Amino acid sequence: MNLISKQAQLINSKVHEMDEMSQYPVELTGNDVPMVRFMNVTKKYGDLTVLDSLNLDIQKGEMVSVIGPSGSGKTTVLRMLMTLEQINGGVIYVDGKPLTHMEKNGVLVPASPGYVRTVKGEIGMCFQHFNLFPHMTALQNCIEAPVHVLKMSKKDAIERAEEMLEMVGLAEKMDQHPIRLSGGQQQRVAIARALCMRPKVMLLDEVTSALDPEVIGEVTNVIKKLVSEHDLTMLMVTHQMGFARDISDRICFFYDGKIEEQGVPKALFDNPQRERTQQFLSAVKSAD
Amino acid sequence: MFNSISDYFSQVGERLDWNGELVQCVVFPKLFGTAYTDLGFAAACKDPALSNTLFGALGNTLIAVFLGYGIAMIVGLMFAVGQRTKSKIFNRIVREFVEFIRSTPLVVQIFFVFFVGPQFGITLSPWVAGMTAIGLHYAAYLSEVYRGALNAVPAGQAEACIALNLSARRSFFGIILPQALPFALPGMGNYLIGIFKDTPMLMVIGVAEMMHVATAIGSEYWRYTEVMTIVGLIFLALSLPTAALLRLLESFVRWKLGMTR
Repeated sequence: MNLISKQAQLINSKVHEMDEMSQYPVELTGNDVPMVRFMNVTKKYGDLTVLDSLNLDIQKGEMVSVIGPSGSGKTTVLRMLMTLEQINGGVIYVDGKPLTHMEKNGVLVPASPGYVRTVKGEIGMCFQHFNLFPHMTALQNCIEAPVHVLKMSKKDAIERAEEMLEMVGLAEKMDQHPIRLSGGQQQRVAIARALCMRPKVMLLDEVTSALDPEVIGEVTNVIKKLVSEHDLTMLMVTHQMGFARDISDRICFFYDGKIEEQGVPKALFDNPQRERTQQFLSAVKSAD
Repeated sequence: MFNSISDYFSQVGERLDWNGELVQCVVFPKLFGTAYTDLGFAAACKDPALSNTLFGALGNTLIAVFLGYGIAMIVGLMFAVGQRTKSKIFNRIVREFVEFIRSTPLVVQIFFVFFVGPQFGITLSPWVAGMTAIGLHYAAYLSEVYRGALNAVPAGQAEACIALNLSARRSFFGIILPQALPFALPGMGNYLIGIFKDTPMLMVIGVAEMMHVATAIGSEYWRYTEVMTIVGLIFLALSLPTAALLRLLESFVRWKLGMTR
């Protein structure tokens, strides 16, 4: 009896789930399709809800910075977009196409790994600890994915990698292994490596947090150059308020798994509306 | 007792011949005989009984080590990867299988494959049975070495592979496995010496490796002390340089992968 009722419950929840999925469009269309859209995205670790039905749009070419206290779920947003974390509810769209789901008979179903690979090719990511491949030189790091994923010829891939390494100012270091590069240089190689895949969306996860203070500037300068010269959509998690203020189009303040407040940098930093934003900003300011 | 080593090896003794008659013979003519009989190396490999001198048997021991270790390296990698798949049930089955092999003695496994197999219609030659048993046994050990080494590669490397959209195959063989190699080498070297010293167990099913021939020679002349001492010294003489070479290989691999300053 108990088993039967459990089965019924399971079927009910499945039906309910399918009903729920029908509210999400299988594709975003129109003139102003956002580059990235989070729709009711929920993330849980066991009983702990890290993100509670997040709704966030990032327009094409927009630079959005995510700030907030640790544990507020800001890094999780990036990791979900890079498919490093599974989501527990909602749908993420990238350039109009669902990332976490795929269409089947007019309804969205959880995506197959092959489908995810086609969509996430639009996204590039840089990490706090660089995560360069230590057994490859800077150049080999940069051509690895273009050669094996985009199936470019080695010659073309090297040409592109040299161009990118030149842009981050490391052309003369391209035959060095990561262990021989400073933290700032490693992070710049990591940025070049991500750019070699020509992503439309670039995710920067606390890229300066693991760096010595004196080399932070060389990385932030590269990012500033990216923002001004390239038509990239960027989502950045950072603890450097001044830097975020300088280059962002919009700031999102995360607190307890929700967007507590968001707006243009000037408004949010100079005139925060919510109490928690005020507390956080004043705490950061007094730490400086 | 003896004035010199040459005296000792040319000492004339007596033994029983096949007809049960006492005949005179030189003690230990078989220690330093030709490596294999006139039939040649290939024939000697096919028929282990052809090797009847200690140094000939040393060849068989080395063949057993390389074949057994080759099997162990490849199957061990399969065992290690088999515990990292997405299917939890499959991982569990492989895990339990490895645990089962690790928890039973090698001699029992060798006996089992050779003598119990025919009961179920699987008849294997001593070499095939021996290599299967010793290969699987050491595959189980090596899979644990691989598992530890793969876990030692920072999680960020796999995340970078996902971020760069690399295929699962390329991520594993191009990024994760090469970085795991330096972590695996000390343990792998350990078991290479281990398998070398465990080959004498193959004598129980009649593979003519060194120990098998040594006991045969010992029983022929009723003198075990000398032949066993020599066998022990041969093992020592080969194990020690191997251990040193493995250390060199380890630092060479680190250098080759660009992981040293």
